[in-house]
Amino acid sequence: MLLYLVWLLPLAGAVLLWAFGPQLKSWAGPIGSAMIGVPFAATLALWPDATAPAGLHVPLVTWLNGWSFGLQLDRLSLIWTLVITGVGFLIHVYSIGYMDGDRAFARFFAYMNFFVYAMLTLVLSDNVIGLLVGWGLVGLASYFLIGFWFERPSAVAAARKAFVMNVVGDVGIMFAIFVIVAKVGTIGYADVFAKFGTAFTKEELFLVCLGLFIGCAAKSAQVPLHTWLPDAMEGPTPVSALIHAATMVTAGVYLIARFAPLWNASPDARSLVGVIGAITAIAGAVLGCVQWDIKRILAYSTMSQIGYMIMGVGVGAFEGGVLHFLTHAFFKAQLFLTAGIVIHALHDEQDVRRMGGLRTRLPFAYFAMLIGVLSISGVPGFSGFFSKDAVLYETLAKGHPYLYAVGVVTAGITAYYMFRMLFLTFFGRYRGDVDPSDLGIRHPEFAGTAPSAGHHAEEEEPHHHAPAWLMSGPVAVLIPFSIAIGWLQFGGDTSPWARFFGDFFGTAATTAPVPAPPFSEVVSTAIVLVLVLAGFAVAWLRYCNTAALQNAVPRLRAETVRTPALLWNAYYFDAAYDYLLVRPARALGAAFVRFVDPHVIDAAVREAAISSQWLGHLFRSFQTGLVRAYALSIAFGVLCVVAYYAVAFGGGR
Amino acid sequence: MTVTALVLGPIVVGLLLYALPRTATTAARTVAAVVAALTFIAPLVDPNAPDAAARWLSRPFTATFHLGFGPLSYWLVLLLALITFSAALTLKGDRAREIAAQLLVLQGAMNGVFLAKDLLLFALFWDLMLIPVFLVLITTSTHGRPAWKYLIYNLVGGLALLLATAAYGVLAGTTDVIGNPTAHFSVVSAWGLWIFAGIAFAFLVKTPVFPFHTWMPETYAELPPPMVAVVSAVQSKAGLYGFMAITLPLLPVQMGQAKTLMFALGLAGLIYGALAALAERDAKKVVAYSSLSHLGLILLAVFSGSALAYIGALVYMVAHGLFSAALFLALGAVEQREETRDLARLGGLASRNPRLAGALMLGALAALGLPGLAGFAGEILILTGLFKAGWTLAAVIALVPVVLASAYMLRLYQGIMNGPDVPDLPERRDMTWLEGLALAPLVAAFVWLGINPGALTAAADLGARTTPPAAITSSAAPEAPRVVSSR
Repeated sequence: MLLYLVWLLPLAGAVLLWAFGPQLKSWAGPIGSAMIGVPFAATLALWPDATAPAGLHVPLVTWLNGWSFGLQLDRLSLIWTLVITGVGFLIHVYSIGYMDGDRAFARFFAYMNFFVYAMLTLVLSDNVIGLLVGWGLVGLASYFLIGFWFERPSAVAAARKAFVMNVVGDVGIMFAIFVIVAKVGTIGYADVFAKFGTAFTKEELFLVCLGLFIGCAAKSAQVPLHTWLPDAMEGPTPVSALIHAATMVTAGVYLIARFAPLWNASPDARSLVGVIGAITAIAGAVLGCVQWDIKRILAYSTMSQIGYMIMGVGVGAFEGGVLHFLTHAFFKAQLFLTAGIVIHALHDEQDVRRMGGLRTRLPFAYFAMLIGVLSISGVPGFSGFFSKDAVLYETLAKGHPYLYAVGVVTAGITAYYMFRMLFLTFFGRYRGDVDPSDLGIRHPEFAGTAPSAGHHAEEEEPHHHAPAWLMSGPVAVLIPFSIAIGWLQFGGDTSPWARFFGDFFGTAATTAPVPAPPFSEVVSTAIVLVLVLAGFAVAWLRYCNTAALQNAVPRLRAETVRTPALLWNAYYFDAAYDYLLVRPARALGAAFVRFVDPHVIDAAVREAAISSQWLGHLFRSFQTGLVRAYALSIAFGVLCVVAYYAVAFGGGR
Repeated sequence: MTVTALVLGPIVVGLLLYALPRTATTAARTVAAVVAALTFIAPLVDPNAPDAAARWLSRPFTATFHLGFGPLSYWLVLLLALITFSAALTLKGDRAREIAAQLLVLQGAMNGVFLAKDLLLFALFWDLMLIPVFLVLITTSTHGRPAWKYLIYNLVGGLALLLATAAYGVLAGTTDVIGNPTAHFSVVSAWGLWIFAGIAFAFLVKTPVFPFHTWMPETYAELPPPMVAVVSAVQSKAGLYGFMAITLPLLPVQMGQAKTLMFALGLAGLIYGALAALAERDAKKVVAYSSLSHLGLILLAVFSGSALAYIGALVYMVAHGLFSAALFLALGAVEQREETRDLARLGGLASRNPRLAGALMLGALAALGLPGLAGFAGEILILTGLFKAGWTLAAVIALVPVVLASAYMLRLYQGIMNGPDVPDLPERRDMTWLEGLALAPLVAAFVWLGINPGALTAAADLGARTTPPAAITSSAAPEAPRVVSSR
């Protein structure tokens, strides 16, 4: 019963806030937050049931034989549910402050509640179709929230792009469902896992994994379906924190972990997913180095970090991948929310070139950002260190030295661009009063930020601001987790984390014995640390030593101008999609509407009609104005038929 | 009694509406809505209504005035009543009385199509349902071309159906065969293919299926919103219903022979319609082309020979009816306010018309197959059925329009509702409560059927068991009591 409550309360909140938003006024925020907070508490109460061997299971509806829907809460969905509702609750509270004064305050919370409901549908579902329903609904919530400020054309376009690319992912999952239903016959996870060994051939198993992974790649911004995520930063910052960092974009990690038995049985799928994850990790990190918009830096870092997670779960390091999801949810939410505090304080300025020196003005934000940067960079003692270390070493131990190497290099790059962001934002002198052209911000495409037509432009009247603790409080709650949640990994095979999952994910079947890793975990950690230190050092030299701080403005200008076009255009993925897919589809459609329909099909029909006598006569009569006569004769005919029917029927009974 | 009333009641009341003064808008709207509501309630309270039958022709073959519910037609009659109700509520303006009258005549005629258990009676109602649409088109459109295009296309189709019916009647001796497996007569001679071709031509034109669709965008664009809601939602299902309820049991062998062609047409329509919808500027024509795409998918389902796809076909037919009606009514509300349907001119309405925006959004989401709404339920059942029945390539190709649908539906919605305010558009009030009342049942229905289409799947399952869709794939004549070759 409690599970229904966990699942439906956010939906109730969404409907309530959507329908009665204007009447609720400023109560919308607290109500919306409570609709997430209560499910969090309820989920904690369900902990014993969820960790019982059978898990918790409740039925929903049945479409037809074999298509039964239900909810289940087991160890994996428990972790996700706690993060969705827990971090979600904090971000809701933060939003009360951040969205204060926005014209559509209640609508914002309605969408946020709806997102949580959708995400819970995704992780609580006990079958593939229910998973796809959640998958589609989180995409919709993401669409609503990216396009929240729908008067802005850039936000509208970004929302549509995100939705359509995510439908590509949905279609991948639909394909996997085809094979599952055709071969297994039922849609429940339990049936699929019990029967897939005999039902699927090796190729079919790979195809199912491929279909599922297309879904993952779209939702979790993996190459080549990643281009929507940076654009998604058009949404309000709390949205970026909740949906595009902590929860929704990690759904791909959940999906692969959920289908662990399939991945365990398919070495091909493991290789594919591991490689894509590694490519995404390094590609995102490299792009993070050339961004100027603080939210886009974080967006590319999210893409990169999810690459790590996907690489981890892809190669079979499920515990490590899921742990990295958990730690990332905390430190990335913290980073985004802190960025939001900075953006809020600077009245919607998002360009780090126009920041600087905020350490003294925003000491709390500086502290929170520092913790987040240390954690994401993998500095020992912080959460990110433990989870990243687990993913990397497991990758090596499972026999993927090249992926491991890519991951290690990425760790160094991560340290570089995260400290770059920290230094540019908080160190040196404030550059907001510098003429933008001196910073190299000349052309709109080099500006790096959307035109700041944010929600403040819509404020109807000056009013008191919400108390500052509403925004700093949730960040303060996140800080200890960013530091310590990774400590669950202490102790290797006997750590609390390893004991929590036990053999939940099973073990991967391999064709050849995996060679022992060439060096121990300690050596691996040391290598990673050296690279992290190197990344930090380069960032320090370029942005934070005395010379760099004194010449910050000309240096930033030079760097802006010299940004390689390949990187600034994000490897031209967008342009390629535009020229290869979008434009041809539009041109073909236009040709159908304006040429094929009138000048091919209709012309053929017209020829046929004119060559036949009576149709020609019809056309002529229409031209000579006998329309009314025809209409009348038809109506008369109808009357006769009806009358005849009435009479015949009356006599027949 | 119930079934007869479902057919005659709306027609009689519709004709009587002409007795009202021309200006009696409210009265006409109320009468039409009440009649539609009654025709919705009647099948619910009397789901096992007995058939009504009366003697009609005895020469050259036996034909009967035979009306009754079948597993599929029961749901289509309900759908039609619901949509007529919603359409009637949105009636306004100086033509309301006439449109209300024609709506009811159309409802009666279409109930006749769905309830007819005699092939000749079916063909009669088939032609009858043209007339109200034509009469409304000819009087509302600025020039008569679309009306005549509609009439001629569908009249030619109707003629083919009538000839095929006559041929079948002469060969089989009776046309009282719909929904009655024991009376089935297997046409094994060369006549079989001709009869099937005639019937199929009528169905393909009416649905419409590519390349017989060019009458549709113009007709849908010119018809007033209440009428186009009914035509797109229900009249477009008449042909698909015919394939499922008439040719599948009567002419399975011929359907099997035609399935490759039908798959080609269905797939072509799926892609063609989706791409055209992506480029079209007229909002109503976008939905018209999207219908071409969606109905192509149902055609695939009908000819796939898969029971799962057959079940999905009914779910999707009802779902498409609900969301296309919702879309056309919402677009009608937009057009009535802004006096244009041009996506290049519209924009930014959401900030002042949030409720209308919400309604259009929900319709668009159902149409693009958002998981959790009825369109998705139909789509996934059909596609899975296709794949399971071995139409692997077709199922994979049919996934492409799913992506395109999200692109053109969001283009439609965002083009009208989002973006900055367009200064030269008039500012009008948000959705009225009457418009809300019209759209609410449609939205509620496609939300509920998206969560639990169990009632529809059960009905379709029953239909699939009495006439197995798999009969298409087997070349042997199924369950043929009397096999007669032509003389």
